[in-house]
Amino acid sequence: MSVRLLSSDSEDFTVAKEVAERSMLIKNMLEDVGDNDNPIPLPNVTAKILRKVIEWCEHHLGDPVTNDENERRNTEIDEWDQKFMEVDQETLFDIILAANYLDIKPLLDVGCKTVANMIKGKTAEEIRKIFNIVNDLTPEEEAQIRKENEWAEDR
Amino acid sequence: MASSKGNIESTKLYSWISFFVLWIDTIVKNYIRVKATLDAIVFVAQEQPAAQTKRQPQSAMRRSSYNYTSPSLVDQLPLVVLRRIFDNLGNPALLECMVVCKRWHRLVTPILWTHPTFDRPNLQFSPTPSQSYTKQELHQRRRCISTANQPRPDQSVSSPLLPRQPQQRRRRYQSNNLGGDRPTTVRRRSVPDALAVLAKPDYGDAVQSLSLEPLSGQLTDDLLLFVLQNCPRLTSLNLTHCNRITSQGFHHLAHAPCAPYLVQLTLAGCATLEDHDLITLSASCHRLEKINVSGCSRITEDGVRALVSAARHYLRYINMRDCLRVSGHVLQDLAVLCGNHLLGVDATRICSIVHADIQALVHHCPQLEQLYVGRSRSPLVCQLQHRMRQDQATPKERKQRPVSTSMLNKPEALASLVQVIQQRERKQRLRNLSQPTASPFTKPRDDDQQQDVSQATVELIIRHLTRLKAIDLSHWSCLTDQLVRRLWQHGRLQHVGLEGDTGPVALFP
Repeated sequence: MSVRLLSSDSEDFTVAKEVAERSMLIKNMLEDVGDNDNPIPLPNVTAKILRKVIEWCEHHLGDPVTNDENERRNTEIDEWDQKFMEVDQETLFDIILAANYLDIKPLLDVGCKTVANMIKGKTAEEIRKIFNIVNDLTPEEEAQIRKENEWAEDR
Repeated sequence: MASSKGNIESTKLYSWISFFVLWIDTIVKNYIRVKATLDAIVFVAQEQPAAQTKRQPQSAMRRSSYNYTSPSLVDQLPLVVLRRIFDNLGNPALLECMVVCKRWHRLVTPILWTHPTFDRPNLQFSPTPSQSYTKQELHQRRRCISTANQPRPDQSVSSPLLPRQPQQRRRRYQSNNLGGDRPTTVRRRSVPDALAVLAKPDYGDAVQSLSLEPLSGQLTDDLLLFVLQNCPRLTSLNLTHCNRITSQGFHHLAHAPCAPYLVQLTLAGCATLEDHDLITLSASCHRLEKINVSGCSRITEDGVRALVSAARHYLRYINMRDCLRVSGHVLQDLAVLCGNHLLGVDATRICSIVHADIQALVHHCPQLEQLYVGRSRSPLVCQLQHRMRQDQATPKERKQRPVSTSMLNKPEALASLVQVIQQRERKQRLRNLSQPTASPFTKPRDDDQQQDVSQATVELIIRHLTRLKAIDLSHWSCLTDQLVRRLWQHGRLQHVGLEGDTGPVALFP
């Protein structure tokens, strides 16, 4: 049993139903539509990203589904996922957006954790540089915020 | 001629006057026009950022098909995703994120301040008045926030999590209970910096769980009031060892805006806590799931019963460890009131637990996962406690007691005696006293209601409480090797405590 997916740039993908059903969006769609030969259009996902997402879903096909938020949060990213996420920032964010749109929670978690790992241990200035963010806080405001949140500092 | 000349003069004067009036008119008109334009410019400039952020999620959703024009890719992630990223970060990293830019500051503040900790509290009192906030300042801020937040999508992140309206509640609380500007202006000087920050609505409104244990030495009624006013969304409050709180403080707590929403309340080691405080609290704390009153030596079963009865639909865990005056009868009340959804009870070393108490628990609360009913090490203390309970149960028979035990007829005297004996016990290990034969009270009454725990009790537990994960039966004299073995074979049990204090102290998840 296979499903056809149509990316935003009109590329046709044929994947096994179990793989496609890792996405809650597609799963729900399939449930609503029933057996149908028409491709499912995914207007928010390009072919390049969809290929990556399908690759991830195929690799994680056998994973048990955990609904426990805490458990999911506390598990580290495994080695394969780390390799998988070694992409440029643009692709990384596109994967995260696709995972969010397609409602693939575990992939979204991996993506968010990857971004979180980029932030961990960095100073504000380094974070701004990594993500190309403009600082719109005045030095006084920054000092004030740091003072008020002193308790959160590492010790 | 003269009249015509006068006429000419008057027309001249008139024209001069009209000339001036025209000028003044023009000047005023121009002024108004310029001012209006300037105002409009300022207004538009202020509106712009809000309007931009408002459009953001949509554009972010469709972004993959766009060319990137925005300088930062992160800014185009939907807020839900950003929040997910921040959820993976620890406090120090969150602090760095907070000062990255204004948008991140807005996003991170509620996450960081959900569970603030004051492990290393800044207990200094700020000498400069600018550190604290006057009422006017606060009011202004609040207005800014409430108007500024409305059009922003950021609100959508926090609003589903926080259905209540803290601003409103905060204000209502202030006007109802405290009258006028008492809270923010009078108290500022007595508030240490660590807590003074809570007066900022950005921070105070975000706080959901707060432990004031590190401040227990300093925490007065006024300080507690200050905290309660400024944290209207509190759901979990820890006042462990806050011995300076009096009835007034507990009164504040009972009337705080957060009281009806409190889920977890820890009053462990509050030596000043009394029954009437618990009764005050029971008037508003209806949603408590976890109650911890361990080590409160002044409270009795009446207070506990009142609070439990108020929260009976929600209560999951209750910890009454070392509440020396709480009689075991409270377990029966607990069982009847809470029934099926009670998951954990810690009644270690409370005053006398008998068979009927455990029986009630077993029958009404089959879901129990944690049951801690260990006893005091000294059999004498157990017997004294048992006797005390009998005294309370049957006040009529007091008169028949011999004169030598008249002092023991007063429950209060007995409770203190129990305390004294326990202390001595710890220090000297009074071996001669710890033998049951040396005690003057050898025979517990043969009464069905008051029958001591026996092997049958343990059998009951083993047979009916199939979900038990942890149990503590320290110093139960009825335990035999065979029973302990059967306990160990019991389905899910991970912890069996028989040694008193070696059991897990942190009982509840």
